[in-house]
Amino acid sequence: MAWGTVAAFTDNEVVTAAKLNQLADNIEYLRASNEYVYLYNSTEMTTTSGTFVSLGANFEQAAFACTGRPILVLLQGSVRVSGAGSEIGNFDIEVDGSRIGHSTDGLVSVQRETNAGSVVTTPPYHASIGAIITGLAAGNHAFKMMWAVEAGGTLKLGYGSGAVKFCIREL
Amino acid sequence: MVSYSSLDDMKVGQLVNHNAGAAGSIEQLRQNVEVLHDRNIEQYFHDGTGSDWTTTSTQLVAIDAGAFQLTITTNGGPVMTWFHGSTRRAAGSAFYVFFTILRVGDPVDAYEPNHPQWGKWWKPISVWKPYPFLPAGTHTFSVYWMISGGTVAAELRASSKPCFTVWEGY
Repeated sequence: MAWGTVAAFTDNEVVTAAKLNQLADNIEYLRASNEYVYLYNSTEMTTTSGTFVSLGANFEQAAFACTGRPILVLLQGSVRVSGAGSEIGNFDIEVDGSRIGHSTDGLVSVQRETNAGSVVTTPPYHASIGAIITGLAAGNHAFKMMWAVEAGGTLKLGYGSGAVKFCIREL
Repeated sequence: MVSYSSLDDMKVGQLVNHNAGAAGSIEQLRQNVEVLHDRNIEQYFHDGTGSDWTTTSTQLVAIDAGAFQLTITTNGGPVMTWFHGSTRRAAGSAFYVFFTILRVGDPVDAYEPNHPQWGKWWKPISVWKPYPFLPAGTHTFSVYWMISGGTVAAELRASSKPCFTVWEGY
């Protein structure tokens, strides 16, 4: 069901089926808002890109229908950085071709640990990475989950074939 | 601006278009649907400039009452709060950084602070806190933090554009 504007009712207006049906459609729309969900549970994903690139086609939506409400974009999974030093990896979200995070540091950062005492030299951390995008006009919008890492590092997602969850939805 | 209000039950034979502006009418039903679609939301999205936030407090303190403190007017019902950013502690002893979100004026209960983070390396922090049964009206929420030992500072990375959002519904 598509969301549509219903004009205000006035006293003694002859209520048409079209208006009532649109009101019913709007209630149905609220019950099941537009949503995209992708669950990944396979080999740990990696990038060595020094510039922000997409996590892949499954972490993108080229034409996600919006009705003017805030949009939640959320990635959940374990993250870590391997390398030789204390390299920093960054995640970001691209909306309609423009990233919303910092030009180099993105939206959130994860840094390689150099703690020699760690059982795992590059321990993974659970992370929920995302944002609520406000101010988008009604219509289709493009979303991409992006990542990058400093030179010498490898940014990883989904340690031990752990599940990675990605969603886009209207709030 | 439309507002949400309880509807009287419609009755058999009722003219739904009568007195359209009153509660119980089809117009109020339309407005309620509008409110559910355009629920109130408040957000502070840092612009990525300036110095990192720091604290050496071993008691919960607001990170920044000018930035990460939001007031929202609600129609009554659930409110979700979410803060995310990147955090670490300064090099030194193995202290933990704790985050939580509180409604201003609420007591700090036994479960606060929550969401510990350890390490001198930047890591994502994402704190959600639902408030399921808030009455209609104005509510103010703030993000708090502390560090388990006061000899080094907890840090919140400014360039990572930390963000705090409060919205009606889930």
